[in-house]
Amino acid sequence: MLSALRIVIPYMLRRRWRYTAGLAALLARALLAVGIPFALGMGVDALAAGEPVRDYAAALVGLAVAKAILQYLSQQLLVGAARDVEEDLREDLFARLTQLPQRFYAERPVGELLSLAVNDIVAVRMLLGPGLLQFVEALFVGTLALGLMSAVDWRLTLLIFLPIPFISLTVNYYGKRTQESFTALQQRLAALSAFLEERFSGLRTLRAYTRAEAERERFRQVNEGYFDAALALIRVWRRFYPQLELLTGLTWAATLGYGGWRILEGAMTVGDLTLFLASLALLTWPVIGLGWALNLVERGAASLERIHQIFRTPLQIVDGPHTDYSIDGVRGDLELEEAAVYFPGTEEPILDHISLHAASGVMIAIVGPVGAGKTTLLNLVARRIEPARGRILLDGAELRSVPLAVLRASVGFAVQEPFLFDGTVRENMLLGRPDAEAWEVDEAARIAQLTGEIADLPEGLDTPVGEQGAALSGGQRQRVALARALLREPRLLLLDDSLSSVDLETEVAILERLRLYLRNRTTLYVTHRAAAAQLADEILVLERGQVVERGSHRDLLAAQGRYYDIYQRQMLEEELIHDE
Amino acid sequence: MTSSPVPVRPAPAGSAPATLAIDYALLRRLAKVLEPYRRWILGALAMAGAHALLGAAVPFLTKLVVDVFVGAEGAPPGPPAWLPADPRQSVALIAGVYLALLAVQYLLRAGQIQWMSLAGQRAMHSLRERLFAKLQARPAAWFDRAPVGRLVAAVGADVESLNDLFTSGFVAVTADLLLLLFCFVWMFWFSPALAAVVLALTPLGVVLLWAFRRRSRPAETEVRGAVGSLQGFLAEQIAGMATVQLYSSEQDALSRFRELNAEHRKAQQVALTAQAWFLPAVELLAAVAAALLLVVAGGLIERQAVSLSVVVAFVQYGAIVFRPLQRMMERLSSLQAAFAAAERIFSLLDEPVEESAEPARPAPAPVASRPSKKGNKSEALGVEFDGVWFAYHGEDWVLRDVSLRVDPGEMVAVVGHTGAGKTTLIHLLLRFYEPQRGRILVGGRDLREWPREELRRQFGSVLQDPRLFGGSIESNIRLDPDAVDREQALEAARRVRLDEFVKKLPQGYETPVGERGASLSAGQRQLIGFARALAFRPQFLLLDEATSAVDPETEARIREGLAKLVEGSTSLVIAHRLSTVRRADRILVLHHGRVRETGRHQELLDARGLYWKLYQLQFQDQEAA
Repeated sequence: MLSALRIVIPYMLRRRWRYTAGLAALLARALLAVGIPFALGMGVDALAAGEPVRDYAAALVGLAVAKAILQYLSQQLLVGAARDVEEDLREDLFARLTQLPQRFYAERPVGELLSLAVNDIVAVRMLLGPGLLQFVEALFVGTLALGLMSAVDWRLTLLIFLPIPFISLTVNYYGKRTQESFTALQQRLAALSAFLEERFSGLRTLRAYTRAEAERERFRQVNEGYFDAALALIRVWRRFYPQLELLTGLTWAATLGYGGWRILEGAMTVGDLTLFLASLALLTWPVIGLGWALNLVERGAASLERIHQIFRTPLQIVDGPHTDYSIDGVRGDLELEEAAVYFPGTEEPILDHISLHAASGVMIAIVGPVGAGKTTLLNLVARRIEPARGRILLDGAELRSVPLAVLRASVGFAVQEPFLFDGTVRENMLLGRPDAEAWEVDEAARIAQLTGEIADLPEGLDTPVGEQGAALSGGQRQRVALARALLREPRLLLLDDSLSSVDLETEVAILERLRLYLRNRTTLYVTHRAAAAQLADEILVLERGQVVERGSHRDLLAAQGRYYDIYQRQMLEEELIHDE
Repeated sequence: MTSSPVPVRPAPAGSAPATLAIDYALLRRLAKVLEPYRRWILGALAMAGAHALLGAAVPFLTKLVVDVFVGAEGAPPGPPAWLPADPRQSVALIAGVYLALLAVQYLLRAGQIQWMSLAGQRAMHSLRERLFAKLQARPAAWFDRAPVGRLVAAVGADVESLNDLFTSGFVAVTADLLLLLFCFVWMFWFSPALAAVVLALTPLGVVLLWAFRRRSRPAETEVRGAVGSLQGFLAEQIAGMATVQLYSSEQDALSRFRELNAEHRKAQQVALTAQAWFLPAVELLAAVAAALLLVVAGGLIERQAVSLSVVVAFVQYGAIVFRPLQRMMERLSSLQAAFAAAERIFSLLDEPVEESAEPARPAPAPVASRPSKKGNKSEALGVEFDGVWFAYHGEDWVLRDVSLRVDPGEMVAVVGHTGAGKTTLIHLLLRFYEPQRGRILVGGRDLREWPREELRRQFGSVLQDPRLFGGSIESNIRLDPDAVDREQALEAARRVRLDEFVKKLPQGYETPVGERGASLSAGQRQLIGFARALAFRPQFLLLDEATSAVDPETEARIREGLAKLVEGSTSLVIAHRLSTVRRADRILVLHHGRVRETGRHQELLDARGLYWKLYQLQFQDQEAA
């Protein structure tokens, strides 16, 4: 827990002046706060003696005004500093996230990371802001009030301070129970939601089996489960709040009973009694706050631990001693020698014995069934994964010696289900090169056969594509992604079945244009369509991670092998689609 | 001290509207939801009232103690006559009364929380059930448009925040108002002049509260908006991180994130500033009240218009009456969220349900009785489509003038290329949708004359990707445990050869299937779907064969299972398997929504038309296998 806390220290040190000023304001405020009951007590005594009280009243107001200002300041300074730490920490976390490898993302649901960047960081802020503030405030006010009150009557003070630790403990204990019950309740709510999700999306099946009545019964049970969890929370609350009231009430009762007796003894004045009563009102909040602060510390520490883990996750594919920084550009001459990739943690190959050579300007088509390793091959070339065996050479140099930034800048990668960001068509196209000229955008759109469709959009290139590109059709999304890849002017263009939702004529037209555009660039493209594959200089047929056939369209047809079968079927399918 | 500050759970972010307009129609509906629990609610309110009354009495005890002391000194007014003459006994008695009062308050508070929360939870429990039943009765087509996430949130989270509106809104506010009322009653009883001083300051408190709301509400809205955009951006970036990295746009993403993050901090800062002055201001108000009391009391005591004890009691009242203001401030934002949630829930309740489950017209012929548990198939039904036209949207015809018959005992296969409209046939038969033109007859009766449930019971259906639900394999076969007993389920599983696979599982039929059947393969899910349909012993089998590829062994099992399934029953099968089309009594070739060819496998092949092409594409490979 403490080791995790260490990571926020530099962030806090950066704001050390504000923290110092905030704590000083807090101390001053505590001093003034304790002065208020004092002034009040003296005022009441003056009243009893028939003396003028104006001075005390003025002191009271003066103290209260100064205290209010200091309270405002300490809150602003300390909580404000914590918010700045929150901002920095979140930024550093996000920066780290942008560097983490794909494998990291494959293992974690989006929701988990989102919760980390939002909820966990908020928990850290609560720890460093309100948590720290309440903790220190309780310390200051508690100590000062203790000193002041025992100067007046130490016996009564002792009696009052007896239940006070129990108040903090009660808040801490039930705060934790509340948190637990609340988490359990949230889990039940999640179960309820999962149940509903399943029923609503499986509605047709259930209807077909006339399950309406029985489903209501099952829902009743799930609903009952939620209700029971809510009862558990009620059971905690129904003890928590009354107990808190009882304990604070006890301090008042002790003051009134024992204090009354001390007055009769002549050991205390009515003003002293008023002082005690006013001090109690002053103490109650910090004492309750202390209990909450302890919870905030525990929760914040757990959150910090989770954040810490992200900072500790290794980055994997990075530049290192193997990097040759003299490489500042790529021509695109690609060579694979007996490359192999295994399933994570096994020796089972996804790809094996892959050798190929693509001089710059060459187009290679890759075809093959699902699971043949086509995508893995492209990922290998883009260095999104590294080979377990074999070598990959780019312009004759080891791929891993090319600085990552240089490599990324020379690769254009378009996938089957491209991710479009919530913005305009233009913004999405400019993702990889925000400074591209307007004519370049138009040119990329033209090659991707988008010109006509963009003109039809309500705001042309500036039409918003919606969340994940929802406003566009699948084929349009794919072509925007292609244009995006082209705008980077890549030396190596990798297309992973990236035109599958585009109709065949358009795909062929795009590839034909690409041929011209890509004259001196290297292209590897995965496709399921023989008509598209036949435009390549070389076709590789992959199956179970191995190249089973390779050659030109003509050669492969003549061989009457796998490629030939694929070709025949697709010709037939085309015929069928066009038969109206 | 009289009542503890009860911390309130913060409102869920991003769910509240900017304004807190009290919608009386909404409140009336809410009251209706709570009506059945009125006794508990009234009981809880009575307890809250009693608690407040006792709380307001505490300063009175303080006053008594001071009176006792002053009396012992011999000064007027002295303690009331009903206290013991010995001052020490009096103080002991007062302390005892205070302790008793605390004990009673403890019980009252516990009882109030218990009853109020229980009433709230019960009401929400039944509201959830009502919502679910309502949603279940919606037409299938309605779900095509309604995002599932919204529905789930309405039944789950929205109902929860409605509960907040009730417990921490209505009840807590009532309790606080009562506390204020009782305090003022006591104060005026003791000293109208001093009470007037405190009362004069209360409007200032209300003004403070109002000013605070005015400043903090837009700030809160801003914060919610900022949190929302931050979350939205993060969710998008995390989901699209692969693209960000491929296009080396990490730096751009980071600078955009920096902006959003800073906006978020600024919005929080504004909200914090709005908050940071309120609490000090309220405490300042309390101190000013105390100072004013001292000054005014000085004059009054001189004229003997008020006693010292009353002044001490008033100092305590001053501390109590400003506390409810702080609490109300904490609650206001959760109330806003709750009002928005209530609106969503009630609007969902108001949407139309699937039209009456009863037939629109009185049935002219007696209804074919439901197959008995032991499943006699004596009353096999035929099905007929007569010139059916159907479109999911507008004039986008999926079926165009489709006519087909399946006579009792017959097996008819429908084949066609993707998008030919095959699955729609099944949707129409189960009456998930209504055809725009033409009619569909089941057992000679128009579909619309059948009670919906009765109609669906006639069919056993295996949809393309059989849905599995959380539970065991057995419970998934016996979707309807009343209609299908365990024996039937096991028998069905044996017949479709699911048995062999289930026996290999350590828990057999008790094996839980994961969320949406994730732990089972597509082939295994299909077999469960077959067993489910067979165990149901339908009059008529509807089968939409899955196209997804499975390993050869499972494929063989599925083929055999299918054969058992259709054996001797009346069935309409959307076929993707050669074995199925070969077995069919008749094959319909559906193309672009029209029936293009009809006949048996060999006849159609010989005709060398559409079917022949389809055969080459879809079935030929299976020939070799």
